[in-house]
Amino acid sequence: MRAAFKKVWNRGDGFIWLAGAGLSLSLIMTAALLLAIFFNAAQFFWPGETVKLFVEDGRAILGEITGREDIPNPDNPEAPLKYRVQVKQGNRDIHGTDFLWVEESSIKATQLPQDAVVVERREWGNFYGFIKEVRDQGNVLAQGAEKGMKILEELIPVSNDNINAIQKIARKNIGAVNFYMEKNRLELKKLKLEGIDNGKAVEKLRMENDELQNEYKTFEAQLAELRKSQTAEAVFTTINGVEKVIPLSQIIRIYSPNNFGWFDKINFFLVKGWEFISDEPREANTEGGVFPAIFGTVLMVMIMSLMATPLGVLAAFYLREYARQGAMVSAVRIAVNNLAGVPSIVFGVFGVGFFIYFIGGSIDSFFFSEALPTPTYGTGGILWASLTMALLTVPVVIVSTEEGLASVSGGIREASFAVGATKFETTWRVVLPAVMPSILTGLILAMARAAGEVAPLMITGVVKLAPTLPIDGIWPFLHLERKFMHLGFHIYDVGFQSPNVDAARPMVFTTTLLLIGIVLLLNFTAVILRNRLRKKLAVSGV
Amino acid sequence: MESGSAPDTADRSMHSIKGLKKRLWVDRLATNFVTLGGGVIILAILAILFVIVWEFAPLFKSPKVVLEGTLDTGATRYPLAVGMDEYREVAYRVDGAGIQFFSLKTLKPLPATPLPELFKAGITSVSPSEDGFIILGLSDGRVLPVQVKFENIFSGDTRTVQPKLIPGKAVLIREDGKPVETLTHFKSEEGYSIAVKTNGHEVAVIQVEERRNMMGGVTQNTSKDIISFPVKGEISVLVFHTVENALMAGTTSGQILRADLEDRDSPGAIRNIGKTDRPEVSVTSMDFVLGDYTLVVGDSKGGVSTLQWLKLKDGKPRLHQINNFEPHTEPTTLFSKSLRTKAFLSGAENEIRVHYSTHGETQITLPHPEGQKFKAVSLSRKGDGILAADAHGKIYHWTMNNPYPQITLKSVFGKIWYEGYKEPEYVWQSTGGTDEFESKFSLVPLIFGTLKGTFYAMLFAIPIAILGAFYTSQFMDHRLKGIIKPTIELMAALPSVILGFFAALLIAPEVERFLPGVIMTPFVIAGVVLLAALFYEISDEFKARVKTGREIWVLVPLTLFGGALSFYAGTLVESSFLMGDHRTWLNEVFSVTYDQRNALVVGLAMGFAVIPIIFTITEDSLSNVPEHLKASSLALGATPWQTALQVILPTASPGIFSAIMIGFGRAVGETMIVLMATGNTPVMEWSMFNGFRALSANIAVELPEAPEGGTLFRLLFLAAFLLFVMTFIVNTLAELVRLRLRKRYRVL
Repeated sequence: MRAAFKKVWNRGDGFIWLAGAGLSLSLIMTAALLLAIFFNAAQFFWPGETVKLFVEDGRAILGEITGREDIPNPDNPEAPLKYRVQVKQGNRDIHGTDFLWVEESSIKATQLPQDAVVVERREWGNFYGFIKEVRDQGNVLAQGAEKGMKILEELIPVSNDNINAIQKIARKNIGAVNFYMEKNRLELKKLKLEGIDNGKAVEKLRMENDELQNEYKTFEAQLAELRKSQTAEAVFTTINGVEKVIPLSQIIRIYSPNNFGWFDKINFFLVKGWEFISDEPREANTEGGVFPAIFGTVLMVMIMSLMATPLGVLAAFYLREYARQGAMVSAVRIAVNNLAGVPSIVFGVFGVGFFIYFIGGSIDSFFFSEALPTPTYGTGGILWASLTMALLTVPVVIVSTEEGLASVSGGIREASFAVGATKFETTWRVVLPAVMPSILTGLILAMARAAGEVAPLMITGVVKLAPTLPIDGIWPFLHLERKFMHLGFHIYDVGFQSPNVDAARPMVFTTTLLLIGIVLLLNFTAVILRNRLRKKLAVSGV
Repeated sequence: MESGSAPDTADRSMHSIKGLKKRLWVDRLATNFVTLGGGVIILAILAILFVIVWEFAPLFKSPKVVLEGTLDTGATRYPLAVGMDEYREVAYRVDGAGIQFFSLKTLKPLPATPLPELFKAGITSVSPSEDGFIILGLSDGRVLPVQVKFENIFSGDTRTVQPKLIPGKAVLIREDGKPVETLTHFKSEEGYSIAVKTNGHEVAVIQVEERRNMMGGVTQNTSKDIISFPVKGEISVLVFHTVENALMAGTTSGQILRADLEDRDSPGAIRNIGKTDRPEVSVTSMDFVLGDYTLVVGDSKGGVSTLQWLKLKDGKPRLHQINNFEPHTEPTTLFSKSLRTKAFLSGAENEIRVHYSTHGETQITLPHPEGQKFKAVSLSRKGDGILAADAHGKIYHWTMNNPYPQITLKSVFGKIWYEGYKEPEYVWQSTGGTDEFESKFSLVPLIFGTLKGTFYAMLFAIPIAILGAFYTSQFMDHRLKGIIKPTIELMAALPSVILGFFAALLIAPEVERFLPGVIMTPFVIAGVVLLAALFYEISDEFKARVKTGREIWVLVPLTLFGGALSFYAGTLVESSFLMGDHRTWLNEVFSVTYDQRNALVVGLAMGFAVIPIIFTITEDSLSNVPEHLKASSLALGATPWQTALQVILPTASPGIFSAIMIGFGRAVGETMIVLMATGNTPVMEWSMFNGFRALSANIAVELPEAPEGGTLFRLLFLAAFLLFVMTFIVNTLAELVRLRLRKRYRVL
């Protein structure tokens, strides 16, 4: 034994194992992170059972069990552990809170009532209870759970269509009218600043304004009409027998999860998943979807790519193809290394000082002076955020392109020169196609970096809730000065600034999963691309 | 290429020369364009540096003062007070005869504004105020409150200032009818109080309560008190300490006395609370800076110092000296304060100085242009102008450009004794509830926070990353390495916002629950793994099962087992040695409080971000050690571990150093993790159970709310500059080391 110990010590195999433990620890941590986020997020869309709990003190609770933990008992650590469960009881408008902790030992019995329904509402979160009746302007359409559910399943899609129509008018049509009216107001102001306050131009603008006003009135009338057609309402009772009337226009969907089979559950999962990706957020971002955040992230990454790729490729070509060794090359190298190493928040600060206040402020005073003191470009926006991000990701493109350039064999270039091509022609026709995959790899890595980086965006134009997307149907379609939403910031905001943390948790986990998915997917693509490339080069090199 | 007629050939050659020219031209253009691309990168890094420096540089600009105008009033009496409106267009001067307005634009007197309330009395003293509500002491023993009002009248786009005097009700204070000479006052929302010296040691205090009744009229309610001070010598100056409801008096024998107005009969209500250096030095001026917290005392030797009324450990509150300012050469008799900042002005007859009370620096000195006799001074409301009247009837008007008076190197990096603090401290507190809030702009706690977070992250990351890299590069099967290495590199791609979120919402509560277990984990895992290695050596069967280079398959479950064991042991330790709850135990034994989001959690999460960086670079430099070194060592009979430790490690050590440096740079600048996983409180405690506030997180939180060009805005740029410099040094150092290493490998 002792000899063995000595041998281990001398040979150092124990240390090899210890070194291996360091590696396995990092692998375990990575796996734990991914799994924890995955399981926390996956619960979000899966319909949980609606449980009826009978508690010792005579209360009955209806809701979904969302968590379980032991109750800390510091005074008597030897005592057997007790547990409590977290119940999502919903009905925020009645109880004040959505979540409730119940001591497990105090639960006398549990039931799965078949007639219990979950109502997803536009406001106040979920409602848990039982259908009493459905009525329309005093006429009772149906009574009881079964019939009520049946008629609600018919009526709710109609009412949802109606709500969509209302939202379309309110957002798109009235939004456009407001946009043009604001534009006209600014143009009038501009004319006034130039000293013109009557004449043809002014008359024309005023007439346009009147027309817009009329249009606005018609839209308003349409809205009123649509709203008036929404009269049906459903009456529910809670577990405690309290009656609750919910207008149909408030209901997004109604379902009774205790009746769900596997097929229903999967269907529900998919529908909710789609809603998450395609819908707009509700209730201070804690419900609904994250579509605007996905949209903002993608658009920001695209604008960033447009700026970062050419610049990175040019710099890499300069370093590898064009530069003669000297002070300039060393300077560029140091610059690239430091660009890669400077903290992201410093880029953000630069973006604020240079892009927003210097360039944006100048643009405002030259072209948008009529809107001042309200800034147009002199405030955070998607353009400035993207430019800041482009600076941040340029080294990634440079490094990857350089790696590609290094592996293009000199023979190919010499062959091209030998048949009389100029340097530019060689670069353009021979070298560039050869390094294209490397550039692409760099670009993908840069996109992954930009998609995940939040700190510089926080100060250059991300907001928790943007009223409009940066692209819409109003000319010039792409509004680069607008603020935008971002998945990473969404996680920070909903997870840390939300007033209702418990309700927001599943939302944050799902968004996190989505962001991890995007970033890892991009990285995987880049790694695979790079590996294939290296293999190809290894073959051609021989 | 096909054959053609002669002219055709000539034409084509012409064409091709033209074409060649064009091609060469394109080539040159492309060269310039590509070079430009390289230049833009240099430009970018320079621009970052330049913009950041450009934005914070104005903070440290020395203030500028320009003499705007001199006004000869022709008056022969000494001025008692001066003042001006917000825009510095109209000034007033009080002397024995009354109040006269002047235009500071035309430097001419404005139409006279008689004060009929004076009757036949002259003005003998004034209690001035920067907000325009002044009290005139009269030669017949009365005091007369006067509101000097400036109305802005707009006609079209032009604005004119219309001065007005609104006299209040005169009150007879010295019933003997002698002139009022030493007085002070304060105004509150309910009314005002006036204190007047009635003889050498007695002061009369009147309180006037004004109540607006339903009809819009004002009813006044006046009460009067006499306070007798135990004075050696004579009372020379008076000032109300409004926040404590007390009256302070300075004397010709250098005493500072205090009378509690709230509770006058208790013992010690009227007592001596401070003094000048020597009894023969008398107190010649005494007043509070904005906020009524810091008392400025000027004496007959020209000294200027600030004091605070504080209760320290020894119990009774008393005046504590905070700062001494550059002294005047003549007695300090004049005082005026800014109504925006903690700046104030002190003056002797031959010069005026502008000081800032927070950091105790004298920023401007203005000698009398003709060498003689300032009698009254006033600082403008915004703190951007100074008005001074001298004994010869002249009024001087200076414009002062000092937008960031509270920022000096000392106030940003040094210890400052702030108002209400028990001792000088490093404090960051950029915004407060009231206008009178004293901003505390020390970057030291933030730098401390950044370094603390980095320290714990490195403590966690360095051993794991380097051990892992060692194993991967030296002892691992090559095919397995092809999978493991990219996996670890993918870890680096995880967005930091996700790590921060994970740390705050999942790690932090678990660490709080299993704290002893978490702390024991590295040791337990090491023990378990070493035991397993021993077992491996003894048991041939085990040895046969585990292939060299594939130990990781055993190690992952072993590590998991070690972790679980440690958590279990942790709960046992907690219940038997730590009184069942580590938080109470920590508090009772070490008096350390436990914050849920603390440096330990940040260390774990930030370690997560740093591990792949250190891992990758270390692994590269270890793998790039020339193969023949390793082979010769093994051939000489060294074991793989001995080879790794004594041949590979020394050769690659600069690479490992540069890996640590780059990891350090990453940790210093990391924002989202520290923002989310700490409480962001700027405390200076090394304890790993407390949170901190880092430079980067501070920028992310405060920059969106900082108004452009303001002090905070520029200070955040300074914070960014510090981050830039820190990472620049670290990165450049790492790059230089790596270059040397590459050269060394080439030689080998």
